[in-house]
Amino acid sequence: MRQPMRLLLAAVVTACLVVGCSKQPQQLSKDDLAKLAAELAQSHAADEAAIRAADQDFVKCAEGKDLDKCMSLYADDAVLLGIGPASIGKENIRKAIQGLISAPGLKITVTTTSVTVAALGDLALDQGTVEVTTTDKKGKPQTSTSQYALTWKKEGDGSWKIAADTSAPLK
Amino acid sequence: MPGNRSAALSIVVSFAAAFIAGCAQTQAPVETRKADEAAITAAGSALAQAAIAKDLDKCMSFYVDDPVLFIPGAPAMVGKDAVRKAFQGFLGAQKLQLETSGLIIDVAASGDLAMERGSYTNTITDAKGKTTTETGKLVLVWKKQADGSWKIAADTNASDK
Repeated sequence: MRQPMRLLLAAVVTACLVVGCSKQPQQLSKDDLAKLAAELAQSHAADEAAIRAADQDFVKCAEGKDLDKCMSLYADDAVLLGIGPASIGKENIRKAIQGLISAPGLKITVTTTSVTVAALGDLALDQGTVEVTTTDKKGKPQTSTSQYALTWKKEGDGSWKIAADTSAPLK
Repeated sequence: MPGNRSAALSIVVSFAAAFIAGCAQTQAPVETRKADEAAITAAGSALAQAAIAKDLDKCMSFYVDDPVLFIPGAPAMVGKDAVRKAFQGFLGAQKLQLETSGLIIDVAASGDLAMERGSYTNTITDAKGKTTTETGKLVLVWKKQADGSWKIAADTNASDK
């Protein structure tokens, strides 16, 4: 389907969600349309900001070794590909994250390079790099940098959760 | 955010169009989602066929200009040149048998972004005639292009072992 058609359909849904589909369709003035467009742009920016903030939340809970908090960022049916064997579902992901956060001297830096949010704000692709430093048995820091791609889904309560967490080392 | 202004303009235009079209078309997105799922499934199959046929250019045509590719035992491939090199190596095999199962596709309500996940079994006969089978899980993030086609922005394969 061509782009304008897709946007039209997306807009129909949004307009219906925002103004409601009454039996007698409301007449939308130019001002109403401008207001709706502004609201959509604003919620788009808010979504991107929420995802960028969540990236940093993960850093905080991982460095703080708060496993439950880290897991609260994942959707129930999430997949994690890139840390050990493929992990499907929250229980398996929990084990992998536990391994990650229990490493001694853990220091994580997430650099978000791009966030692509779907037009109606229910799905997003978040890309960037993650630098993980841990200390080896001799206490010497070891750093590895990975490229990551996170797919986020908006939940019913408006929060964003990770549906797929994929990464690979850059070297 | 790139394309912000044109996106905003499109949205304004779309709202005007939505006003004209009215709310009667709320059923359409369901049909659109099905069409998008079918288009993504077809693109995934076509990519596998192109790989089996060792058609590198065709394989690359299913990727966006700035894709990432994560595969087991290799560094992250970032950008189209890096992905192309990885594919070139992959297609150098004597024979490729690529199978997927349990694929689930989540398409965004706006039909511009989608995530596909599932399982794969790759049986590869290398140049020396040695055959190995690898099973794992895959995640593909698809982006709809201006021409309506779906292309892969992020492609991940991870081994089950």
